[in-house]
This record gives sequence, C-alpha cells and structure tokens, in this order.
Amino acid sequence: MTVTVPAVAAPQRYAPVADPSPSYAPTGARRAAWYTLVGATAAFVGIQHALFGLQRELEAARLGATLDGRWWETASLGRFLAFSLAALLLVGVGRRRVFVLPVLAAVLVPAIAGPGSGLFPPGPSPLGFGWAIRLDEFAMPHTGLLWTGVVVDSTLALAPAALLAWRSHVRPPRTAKPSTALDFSAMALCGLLLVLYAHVRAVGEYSPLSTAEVLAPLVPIFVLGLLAGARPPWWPWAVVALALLPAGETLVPLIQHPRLPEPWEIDVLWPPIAAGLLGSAWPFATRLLSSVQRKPVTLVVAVNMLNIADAVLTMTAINANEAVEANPVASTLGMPAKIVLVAVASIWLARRYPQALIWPMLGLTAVFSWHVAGLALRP
Amino acid sequence: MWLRLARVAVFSVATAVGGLALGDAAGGALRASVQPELPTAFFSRPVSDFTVEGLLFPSLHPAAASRATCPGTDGWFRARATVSNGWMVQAADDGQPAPLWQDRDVLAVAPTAFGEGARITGALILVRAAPYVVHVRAASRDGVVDSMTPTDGWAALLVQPHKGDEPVVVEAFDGDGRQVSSVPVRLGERPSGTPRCLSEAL
Repeated sequence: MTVTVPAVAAPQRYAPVADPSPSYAPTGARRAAWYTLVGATAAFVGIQHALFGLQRELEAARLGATLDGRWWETASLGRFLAFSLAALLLVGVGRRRVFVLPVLAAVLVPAIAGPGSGLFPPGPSPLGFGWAIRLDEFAMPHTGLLWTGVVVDSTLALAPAALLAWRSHVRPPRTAKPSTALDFSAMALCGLLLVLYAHVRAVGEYSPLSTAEVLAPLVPIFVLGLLAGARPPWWPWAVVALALLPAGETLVPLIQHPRLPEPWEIDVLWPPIAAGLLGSAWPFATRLLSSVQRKPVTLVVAVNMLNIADAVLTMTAINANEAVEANPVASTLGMPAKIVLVAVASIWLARRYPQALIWPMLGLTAVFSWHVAGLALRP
Repeated sequence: MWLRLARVAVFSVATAVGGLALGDAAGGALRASVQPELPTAFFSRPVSDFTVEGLLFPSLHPAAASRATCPGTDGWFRARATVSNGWMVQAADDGQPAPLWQDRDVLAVAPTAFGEGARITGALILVRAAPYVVHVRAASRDGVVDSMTPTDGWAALLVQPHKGDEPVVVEAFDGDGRQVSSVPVRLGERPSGTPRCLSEAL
C-alpha cells in the first residue's frame, strides 16, 4: 500500500534570538548580585553554624554523645549554593519571574510529598538542615522553626537572583520557551519518565520511602531543568553541575581519588543527574517529535510497533497475573483485532491528518514507558 | 586590572565577614527564642574508665510512654555509664513496674548487667533510697566498690566484679554513718516478688 502525504514545511524553531540590548545585565547589577551572593551565603553559614551548635548541645545533654553533624552542615551549604546559583542561572537565561520555582519546589514539595530530605519530618523542608531542632528529645523537629527556616533560607537564596532580575534589561529568554502543545507534551513525557523512575526506585529497591518521597528531592532539579532547558547541542552541563552540588561530600573523594564509584555512591549521585537530564531534555524531545511529525511513514511504523509492543507486554503481564486488561476494545475484540484496528486507523490518519499521528504515538510511548517500568520491577 | 580585582576581593571578604556576623547574630537570636526540653543533670562522676551520669528526663520515649503505668511526678530517672571511645551502657526507669531487689522501705535497686557475649562483666545499678539515706555503696565479694551520695533519692552505681557475675551487696548509710540497709543482688538473675514501680518503691 502506498501512503501519499502532503508535504509539510519544516518549522523554524529555536532560532537564535537577537539580543536587543548589548549588555543584558549591566556591570553594576552583576557586581551587586555577586556581593549579595557572598553576603547571603555567609549569613546562611552563620545561622546554620549557630543552629547546628544548639543541636550538638541538645544531643550532648540528652544522649551523652554528640553525633557527627559535619556531613549535614556541608550538605546544607551545598543545597543552598545549588539553589542560589540555579536561580542566578535562570535569570541569566532570561527567566526573570519563574527563577523562584526551583527554590520553592525544594522547600514546599516535601510538605506535600513527604520528607525526602534526611532530617526533616513530613512538612516544609528548609535548605539548611540546622533547622531540624527537636525541642523535646522524642518529638519531631518543630514545625514553626521549619517554616521560619523556609522563609529565611528562601529569601537568602533568592536575593542575588532577584537583585539581578530587577536591575537587568528585559529581553527574550535565551533558551527554548514552551509555546506549542508539542512542547508541553514533551515536558509531560519527561515528567512521566521521572515519576516512573522514582516509582521503580521506591518499589523495586524495597526502599522505606514511598514514590512521592523519592520524587520530592528530584522535583526541584527537574523544574530547574525544565526552565533552563537546553539549546542545541544538547548538553545541560550547568543543570547537572548544580544537581550534583548538594552531593559534594560523596563527589569530592571521587574526584580527588578517581575510581569507579561504589553502588551506594551511584545511588547518591545518579538520581539528581537523571532528574536534571530529564528536565532539560524536553527541547531535545520536541525537536525529535517535530522532526518525526513531518515523516508520516515513520509515524505509522512507530505507532504500530509501539501498539504491538503494548499488546505483547500486556499479554505477558496478564499471563503472569500481574495485570488485567483495562482496554474495553481489546478485552471485547481480542488482541489481534486491536492490532489490526490500530493499523487501519493509523493508515487512515496518515492519509487524512498525517501530523495528528504524533498524538497516538505520544500516548503509546507513555504506555510503553509504563510497561518498561513494570518490567524493571519484575523479580 | 589588578587594582580592580583586589578591590573586588577586599569587598567580597568584607561582605562575607559582615554576612557571617549578621548570620551568627540571627542564629544566636533564634537559639535564644527556642525553649528546648532538657534533662536535669543530677550527677556526673568518674568510675575507673567510665563516666557515670544520672539525669531526670521530662518525657519518656513515645513507645514507653504509651505503656507507662507508673507515676513520674518529677520526671524519669535515667543513668548512663560512658567510656571515652563512645561505648555506653544505659539504665532507665521506663515507667513500668519491674522486679526490684528491695529492703523494706529503705532501698530499692534495679541492676542492668552488661558483658561480653553471655559473660557478665559488670552492672549499672539504679538505686532508689529513702530521704534520710546520705550514702549508698555497692561492693562485690572480691572487693570492687563504688559509692556515692544520692540526689533526691536517686543514685547510680557501677560495679565490675573481677569474676563477673559475683553477688553484689548494695548498702545504705544514714547521716551518722550507720548502715541502715543492705540488699544482696545477683547480677543476671531476676529477683522474686511482685514487680513495682521504681519511682514509688519506697
């Protein structure tokens, strides 16, 4: 059978944007932001030092021994610098309003999803772990203190970027900005992959954390990746570097004495990298999808291959008593009928509305990702 | 160029010092604003390689608190013996009736034995003494002795008999130095009698 399709012109997307101002951020603004960053970081260190001092005193009085809090102090500084620099990075690429989102996600998502950040109970998660003070030996850290920490830490972390955004000239973002349905679909697909990754980690590794709790610390890095995006060639080095900053205690020995990382080190380092890569991959995914969208034959082949994969994997899962058929068409007519039906429908769509085939392909890709996560969870 | 860099460096250091001072002051204010619950330290004294401490805690662990039936009017007594390498043995009044070695209404003791594997090498003994008792002493048959003055009727004695699980005698003395009570204790054995609350044993 010959499929005839109308020619589709390749849209020009993500063309370099001419910078309307010769200098985006004036020297004075950049200098002020630098001094604010130095001052805010020092103030953060001062506050955390005092709070960790109190924690140590309480532990010594209650337990007779002081726990080693150095790791938590370093991790707090890493977290603060990562999110402060992330906000600056976003202002630098022209995100003058949404630069606050990664920090807000870092401090507020655990309030909904679960702790996810070591010392904190379910509730808000300040950037500094020093806020996790137990007023009573057996009680959870004080909620009022945690909210104070959220306000103080967020203000300090966002101050340099806010100053830079305020004093900089307005100009279009230097990175890809989502505008079409395809852009948002690519973002949603990346988000689904992140959720499935967190689910596999939570369930497959018998983790004591729920999927939401595994996901909570990854969401801010994912949001940073989404907002920073990536321009071709796709290499989101800044996002990856910022994602790794809070894990400095694990990373530095690996750099000092290069060797293959131990499994526990991979467990610490890989999830934030994966979240950053997935978040910043959406412009790349959009380019891929828009390129495929112009090739209806490829789309027909992809849709049918994904459909057959779905059918085979569903049958395997049903035979293993791991799933039930939820698709009423497939359960009524049977798998072969479903495959034939999708094949006919995809060819009809390719002849009439070739570009619309991208949507079933996206849906089937999501279903296929779900199956792959299921396969990863099999014993 | 160099002058400009030097100026930026000086301003950066000054900003960092200012920020640090500001943060430290804010942290100090935060520390002053919180009112954490802390145990009351009764005593802390060295016994051979150990430091023996006695503390009155305002609350019990939630799991123990849910089962506690004894009254803890002023708090819950906990004693710990710590070695400088971090090794620690702890004995606590957990709010539940326990079998006690007791002599009338003068002395009640609850030993927590420790050792290597199944071999007992010593015990941290919680002591509840009558108000007129001013000195308590634990002595093993081979001459190892520990003694102290109770605080609010509470004391903790650490004994490490040379032969391990030898019987230990806990004695109480009044203000005139007279022995008013003597309780023989066999480490690792459960005393007979009805379990009682340590806080109201006397």
